[in-house]
Amino acid sequence: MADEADLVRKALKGDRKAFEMIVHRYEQPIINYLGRVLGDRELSLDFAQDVFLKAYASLKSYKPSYKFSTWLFKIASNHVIDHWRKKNLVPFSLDRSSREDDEALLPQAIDPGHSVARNYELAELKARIEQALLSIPAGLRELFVLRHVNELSYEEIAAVKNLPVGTVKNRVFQAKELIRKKVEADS
Amino acid sequence: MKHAGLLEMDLYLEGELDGPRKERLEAHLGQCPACRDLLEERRALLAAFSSLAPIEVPPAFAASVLSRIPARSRSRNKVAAGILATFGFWFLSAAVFLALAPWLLPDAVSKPGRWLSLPVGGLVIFFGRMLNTLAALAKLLGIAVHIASQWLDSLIHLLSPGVLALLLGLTLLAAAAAFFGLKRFIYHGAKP
Repeated sequence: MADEADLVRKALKGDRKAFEMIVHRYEQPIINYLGRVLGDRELSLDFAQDVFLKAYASLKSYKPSYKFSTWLFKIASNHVIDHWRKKNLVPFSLDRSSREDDEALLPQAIDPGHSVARNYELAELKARIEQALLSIPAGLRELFVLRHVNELSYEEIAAVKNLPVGTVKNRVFQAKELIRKKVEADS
Repeated sequence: MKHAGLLEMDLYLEGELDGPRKERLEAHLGQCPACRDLLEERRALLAAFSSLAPIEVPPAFAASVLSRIPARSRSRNKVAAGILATFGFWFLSAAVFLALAPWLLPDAVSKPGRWLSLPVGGLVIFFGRMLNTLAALAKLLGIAVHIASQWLDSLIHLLSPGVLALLLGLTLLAAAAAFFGLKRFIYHGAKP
């Protein structure tokens, strides 16, 4: 498998084949990310094209010391945020206090209703999770998708979103709990 | 007994917990069946979260992206071809001029002896004739400009100031469009 930095170098010299290989490598994760965050396949395909075109136009600014996937997800995330801004969608309040985030770290009592995974067959559970995912705040949804759909590490997500790792962990957890409670409420 | 936190359990399952926190949790799980049950529940939930179906990518997606990228190399070739054509034109013109020089400069050709005995003088004559030819061309150009200026002068007298202003505005607009069009052609694909 060709090295990403090498592919970028070739693409910068006008090698379209090299950039095509980059697109092939990342089309699935980027479309998964956009599709799950936006909840609209057609829109996600359009956005994915825009993301790759933006990446192509900014290849010169890519530093090989950074992970290429992180750089690409950052472009995708900025594109999504621009879209939300245009539609006046607020992902979540950015002035949310770190204290609120930290509360999730505290030990909790056992939740008696915590049996979602046992109550459904896996296929049905996945369908309910997909539905619930679209009902949670967009910013939390994005972090959940980066972690559980794209399987980025917490450190990578922190780099993509310019957030502290601890905040990312807590917000992903909040997203999971909102989804779980939503699935539970629907049962 | 203080139960384990859900976030802590999730981080443990994701391999994100280490050191004393991990040891503390494992010790608690060893004593607390309720937390062990909950851990298994969280494991199943995380597995479900991570198994959402991928979104189908159209087979021609990459080709579609590539089709929207301007063909940089082709544009560069166009510019290079333009430069080559310009130089080619001037080279060809010089060659034609030199080929026609014997007819344009009969003195220089009819007196080869003088050329051979006085090569420097011959060169001076050659360039002198060349200058004569250029002067004749310049004179022709001058006449053309004079005729054009007379034509323009009579046109200005014929047209009203409003029409003249309109014509001037349109000319400026066309010049700007030509300039930016040319600039875009030159940079087409070169600037992403």
